[in-house]
Amino acid sequence: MFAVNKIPISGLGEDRTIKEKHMISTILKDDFFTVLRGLAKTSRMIAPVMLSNGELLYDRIQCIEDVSLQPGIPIMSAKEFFFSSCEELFRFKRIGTDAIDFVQPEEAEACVFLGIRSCDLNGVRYLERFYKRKFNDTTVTKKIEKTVFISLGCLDPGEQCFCACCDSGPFLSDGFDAQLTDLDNRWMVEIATARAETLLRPYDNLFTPATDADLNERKNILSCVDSKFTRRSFMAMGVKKVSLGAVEEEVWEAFGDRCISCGSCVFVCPTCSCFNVLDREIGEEGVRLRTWDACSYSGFTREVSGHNPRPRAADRLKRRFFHKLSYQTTKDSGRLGCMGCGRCVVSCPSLADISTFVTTLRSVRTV
Amino acid sequence: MFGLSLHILDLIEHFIQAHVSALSVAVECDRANGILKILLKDNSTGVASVSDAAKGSPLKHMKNSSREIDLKRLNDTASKTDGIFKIGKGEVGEAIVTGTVKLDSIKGDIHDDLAVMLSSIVCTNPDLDLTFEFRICEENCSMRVSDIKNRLPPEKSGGLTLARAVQEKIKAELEVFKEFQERRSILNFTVCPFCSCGCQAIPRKSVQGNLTGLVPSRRHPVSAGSLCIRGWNSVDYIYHPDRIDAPMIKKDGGQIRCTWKEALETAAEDLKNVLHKWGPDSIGFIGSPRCSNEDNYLLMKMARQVVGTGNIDTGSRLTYSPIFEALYDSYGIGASTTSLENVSEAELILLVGADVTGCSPKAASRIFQALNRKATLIVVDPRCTKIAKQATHHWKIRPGSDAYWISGMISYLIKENKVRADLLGGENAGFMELKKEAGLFPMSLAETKTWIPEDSLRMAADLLASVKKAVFILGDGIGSFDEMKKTVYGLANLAFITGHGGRNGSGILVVGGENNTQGAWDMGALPDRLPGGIPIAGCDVETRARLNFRMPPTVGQDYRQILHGVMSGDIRALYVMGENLLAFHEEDKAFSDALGRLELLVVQEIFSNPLTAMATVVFPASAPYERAGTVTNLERRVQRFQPIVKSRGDTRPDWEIIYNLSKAMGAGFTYRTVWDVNAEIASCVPFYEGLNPRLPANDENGFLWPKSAKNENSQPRLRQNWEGTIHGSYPQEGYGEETDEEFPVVLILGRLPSFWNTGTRSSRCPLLHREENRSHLQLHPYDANRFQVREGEKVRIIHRSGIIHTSAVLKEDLPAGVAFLALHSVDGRFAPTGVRRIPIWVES
Ligand code: SF4
Ligand code: SF4
Repeated sequence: MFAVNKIPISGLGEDRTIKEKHMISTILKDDFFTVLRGLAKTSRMIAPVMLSNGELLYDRIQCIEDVSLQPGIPIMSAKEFFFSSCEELFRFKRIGTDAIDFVQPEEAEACVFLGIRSCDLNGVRYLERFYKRKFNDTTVTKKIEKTVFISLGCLDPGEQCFCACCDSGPFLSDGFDAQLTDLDNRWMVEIATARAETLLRPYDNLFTPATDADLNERKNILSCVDSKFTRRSFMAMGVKKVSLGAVEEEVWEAFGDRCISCGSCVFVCPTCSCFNVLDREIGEEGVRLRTWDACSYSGFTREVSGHNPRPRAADRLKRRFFHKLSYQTTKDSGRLGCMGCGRCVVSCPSLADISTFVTTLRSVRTV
Repeated sequence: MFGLSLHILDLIEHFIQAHVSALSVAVECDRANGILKILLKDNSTGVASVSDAAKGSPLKHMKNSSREIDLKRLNDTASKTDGIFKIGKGEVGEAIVTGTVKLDSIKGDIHDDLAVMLSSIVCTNPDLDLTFEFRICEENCSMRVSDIKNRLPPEKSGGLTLARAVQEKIKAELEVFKEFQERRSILNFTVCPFCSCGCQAIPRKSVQGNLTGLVPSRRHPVSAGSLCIRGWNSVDYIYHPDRIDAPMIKKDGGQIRCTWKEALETAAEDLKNVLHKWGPDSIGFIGSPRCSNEDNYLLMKMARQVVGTGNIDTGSRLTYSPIFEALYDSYGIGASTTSLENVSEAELILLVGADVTGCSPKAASRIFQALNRKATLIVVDPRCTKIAKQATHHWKIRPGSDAYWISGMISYLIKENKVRADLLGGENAGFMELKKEAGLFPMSLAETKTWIPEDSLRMAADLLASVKKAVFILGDGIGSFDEMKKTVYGLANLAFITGHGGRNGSGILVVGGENNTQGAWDMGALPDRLPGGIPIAGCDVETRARLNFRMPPTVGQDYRQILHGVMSGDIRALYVMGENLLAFHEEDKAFSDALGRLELLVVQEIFSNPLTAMATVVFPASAPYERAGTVTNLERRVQRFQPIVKSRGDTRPDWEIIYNLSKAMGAGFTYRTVWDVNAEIASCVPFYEGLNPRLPANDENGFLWPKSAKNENSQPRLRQNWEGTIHGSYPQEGYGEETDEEFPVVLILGRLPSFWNTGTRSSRCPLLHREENRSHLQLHPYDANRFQVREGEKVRIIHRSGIIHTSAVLKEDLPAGVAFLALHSVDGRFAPTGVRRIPIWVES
């Protein structure tokens, strides 16, 4: 079951040394394709693909032609490849009445994640921090450590995007192994770590060091992108109001009354990390699974007695937004728990997403 | 691939050397399982024609014919292919070579390679009768070399020219599949199998190939980026240990696992026996609103054309059938007359009898959008549901009295002349009728009967008469069960006289059913109607010809009558597809005893349950994710779904089971794939003409029927105007069971969002099960006081025909005098009767 083809990426190892100075070069898009073809031969690859209905989705690449570096935000965030919606923790087998045999899953494999969006990579880093805190949960962190991230800066933020308000995009200054910028018929490739360098070294001859003109071009692009955002979420004010308990009860009520507890916002969120653990058994054999869970479900906090400390959707929404906006920022990591990818804006069937919430706070003034 | 095509070439050469005159080559690309299957089969006519006589010694017979296939040598060749190919024998002893290759291991272009290889064979053997079939994801193409040859001028039909023609033809045919081959990681779409919204979902899989979850499609008009709690957590059930993975038959008092052949033969024999002994009407068929259009269509065909009975129905008889019937009579279509899109653009929404955020979340989200655009929402529901909190006006109505407020509004509008202008001057007989009786319904009567203030009704009626776009949304909680049809007539009349029946932007939307409640009705899994909802009484020669019915259709018994028939012994054999009859009857010993007395009980199911335990024959069915087909959603959207995961064990899709059984009973129809059934539906079911199994795979959003075959584009809206017919809708005295001193409170039975219907699937999904698995009696504090019951206390609910045990929770938002309990937590007595409102007394 666990015997998946194992293809080592030579020289990658655990070396995550960050280079002192990023190496910046350019490559023709056609040539970059050659690089990808080569990479796909030697390593597993995850990248955005375009579905037949035109939607983007990150997926494991079997055929390099599938890779799509088109603008737009993939349906699901990158988290499903590290913190899977249904992960096998181990397998077990009952032997007789009181013995159980355990089989550990094989260790994660090295992999290249191409075209990950800035907000998503920030989300991955957020998960990494979370799962390393106190207890290092290696099922998640090992996979992250073994992945080389080649991120893609966004030139065309979507209608739902507000990463600029959350300090998580549209371009990154750290956290990536390599970052791509679209320069028309060329990619600008910014290499930040030794292992990205190792990975791309065999194709050295295809890259040209970036000229001053290139760097200027990129600068112009970056300053243009900011003005393309149509959505503004006033996160700083959200953090303040939620932290001070200054949000009117009616606002919580109004949002809670709309929320239908579907869990969409949680599942599409790049940073939500709650899970449920269960066993799936058939006969003597079984597997322990870790699946996604959602704090918007009433069963999430219901106690055995039947008592539920957060019985109403409004209570659960309050806790969720409090965690994302206030707790994360003020008590935990010092950064917002929201990456501004805007997926919940698209997904919430009830117009109860975090961006709408924060915007509402701004319009409802406390007197 | 190159090595592979060489192997195939070698094997074919072998057949040719053995003087095989006809050969078929089939290549099937099974993307769900990631494999390519190859099948080479000796198709020479000699085999088939001698097969009957030569039973038992096929090899000898092969010697007799002019060809001699040396199986041993063939085996040798096959063994050189790294174990890819295996040699076997077919039904009549013909030689068969099968091969299975992992898709991942194939490099290069399957279709180009195949074209070159096959044409080279044709070039050297122009007289070989070669048939070639290529199938990918239930899409298929097939061609016969002799057909191409016949089309060529005789002088050119030899070697090279023919080979070139064949190569071109294959390349052209396979162009469709090129996309699949090139973009192998592109996934199949599926449709969520729970509610009637019909969200499109994309599968997510683990590296090991297990289905780990579904994610919503963003560009699909229904899912639009989200699923509900059921959709997100819906896949676990297919891995549940209760899945049945092999056929079973009853033997020596117990059930044993057996082969498909045995199971099919047993079922066919027994069915024939019952048919012979007791006649067709001693057999009953129960279809399922959870099964696909193809499944229900074939079940209907088996009942009506193989067995020859009209005894076929689904569990929807107790819920949605009366609604569809009323709409059929009123508007000529047994379905919603509007779409979800129209809901979000409506100015006025009138929602009756549905807890829409729970049972049809996608309709709810359209209502939210409409509210965001400042629409007016009127919710008519005794309970303060989630959507009721959003309402501009929430009418806490006396349970079951819908007919009264509807009639009140109708008579008010008529009296005030606030109806469609053309009705006032025209000669509409139905309208005249309505008008005559309008005086009988003063608003004050509506108020006393329904508890809705007169002024509110007047205000709503005025609004209805003045807005351009109004949508009526109704669920099966409308009216009292006996009066349901009449109540829906009333609503249809109200919509009609105000001009909101079915014009652009307005109409009636039926919410809350199962994933294919609509489709099962459309396919004619009904005792008194044919596909398309055509009443049997109105079945003319033309209809019959189009349906290709040998036997004239007869009116049979409906769901309840069939169950009564089981009790009384009139029904001797029962065929059940995907419906756990005992879910509601578990404690009803008389009923299960009656089932035990049946001569034959055939059950097609995905899980073992008390019903399958009693069955004479159990056919294991594939779960929706494991198979292909079409379903129709609440707005009449016909959607295709594809297999996204490997079938469990030895299960088969429902349509295939019915088809094989019909064949075993001697029926003369042939379907190679589910898309053949699909094509037949397109040719004979009214409104489904636009179904086209060959539609490109990216047209997965489906279409709203009716769609003509020619019209390539799906029609986003319904016809400009659905003209309606008016049917008498004023209620007679009374509405279901009345309360009295002994039973002072009305108990409403409803559904819980996460416990889907009988919970067959949802309770096997851990998160759904955790969310809601038991229901408590919801009581108003006033009533709790009257019954001396405290929060959380165990209580006994006493009603006229029994007792229900549960515990109580107090709910301020119910009106006093009304209590609520989930349908599934009640024992058998109500569900099969369709009663949803019961006067009760409560004791602690
Ligand atoms: S906030 Fe929206 S997306 Fe999240 S659970 Fe509630 S309804 Fe679903
Ligand atoms: S149950 Fe209905 S609303 Fe929920 S995901 Fe499935 S089809 Fe969509």
